[in-house]
Amino acid sequence: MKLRAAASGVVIWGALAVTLTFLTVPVAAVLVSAPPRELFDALGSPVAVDALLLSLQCSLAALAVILIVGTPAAWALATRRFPGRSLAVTLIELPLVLPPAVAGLGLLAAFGPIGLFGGALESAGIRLVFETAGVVVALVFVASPFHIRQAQAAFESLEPSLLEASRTLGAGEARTLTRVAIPTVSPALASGAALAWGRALGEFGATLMFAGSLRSVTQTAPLAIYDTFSTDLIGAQAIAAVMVAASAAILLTAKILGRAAERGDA
Amino acid sequence: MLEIEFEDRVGDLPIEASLRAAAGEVVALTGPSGSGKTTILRAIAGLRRPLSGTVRCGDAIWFDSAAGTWLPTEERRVGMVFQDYALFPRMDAAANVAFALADLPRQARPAAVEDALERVGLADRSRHRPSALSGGERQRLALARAIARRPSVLLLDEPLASLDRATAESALDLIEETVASLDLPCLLVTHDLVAIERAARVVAVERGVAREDAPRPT
Repeated sequence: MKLRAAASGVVIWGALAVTLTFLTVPVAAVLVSAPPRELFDALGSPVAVDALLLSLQCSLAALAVILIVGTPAAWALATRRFPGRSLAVTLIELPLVLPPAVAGLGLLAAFGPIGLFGGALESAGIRLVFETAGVVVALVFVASPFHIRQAQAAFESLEPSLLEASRTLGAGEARTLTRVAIPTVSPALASGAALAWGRALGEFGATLMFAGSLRSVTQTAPLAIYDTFSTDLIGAQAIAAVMVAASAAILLTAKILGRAAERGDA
Repeated sequence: MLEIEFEDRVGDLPIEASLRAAAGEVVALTGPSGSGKTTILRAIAGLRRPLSGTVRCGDAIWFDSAAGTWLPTEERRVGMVFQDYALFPRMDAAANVAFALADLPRQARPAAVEDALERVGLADRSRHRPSALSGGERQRLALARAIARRPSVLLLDEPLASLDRATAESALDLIEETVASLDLPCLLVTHDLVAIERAARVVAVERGVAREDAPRPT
């Protein structure tokens, strides 16, 4: 009996050790497989600077769109019951499990030059394919469900009496949302926003399919890594190292804010 | 004068409410849990729409099913204290009260906030968030916020339930003072025997039916 308990302990701890090693070694390897000095110097290359700046700009623009449109959308899902609501929730979550290449193809089919809305966009003077705006569209598409899911759950967790009190104090829905609901669940919203931002920073497939990989225009950091790794491995690793640091910082922020949301403070 | 006469239904429970409260009068609503007391308050506040009937407050008609009149909650002048007080956790006491004063010009709000907090003895706690206040202070803050907007009626849902005896007594004093000085009709949902004893009138709510002038429980 004791032997069996010891064996199961070995198996469980062994599984954890293997998992941890398997998931952390590739990440650590990005940071340690080249001398730090060389990585640091490579970061000064125009390709790296352009890609990292473009990633930052596009992901922040996408995050702004996600927060401005996604937050009221999540509020609607949390506070209203309507026919097809479950279907709406599922459709909003679909990009989470959609292969990125399919997402890119879908965006092309919808908003590309010969897509469903291509003509309308063209006549309005809006071009997305091979344009920076197209990158933002792709990032919004893949990252918004991360924020919307979290925001919906946060709004659903609000005490109904808080929202009712707001109404008895003369506030309409917009004021109740902006002054009461959003501040009350702000740590949970910030946690969802951090995850969405992290997803946007790492987006690759949909951006490549929809917006291409043009330096300074649509070549974000993940695309620059893919583009340069066969000719300039150190350069690709330098960009990757920055992405690792940024991703870790975002994940840590999301976790801290998530814990604050659970405690109901901060 | 608050006058209500309506019918409603919560699940299988039919609600029939017919009662009046005069200005300056505290009317206690008593009855077992689940009998429909809170539902009646919520219907008066416009947080739920009765099936039929009327809700009138002074000259204003808030609900009249025959005429198709329905005023949303935010357009009724209702001061309501919820059972859990429903204070906004991220706002300090002053901001909680100021939230009710959006109709006032911005420069008039600080004085109105100060007045409301002073009325309930919380002037020195204005910068404290609800989590930093005691149960009695939270109850008083909820009352200050409810009256800040100069409501036409005061609805109190079990405001004494989570207070100890001494705090409940002083809270009751404050409620009576406030109702008298603002000359408001007040409905007080309570199980508190002292509050029932001190109320101007008692309405018993049993299995969804609110009956005027019930005998006081002993």
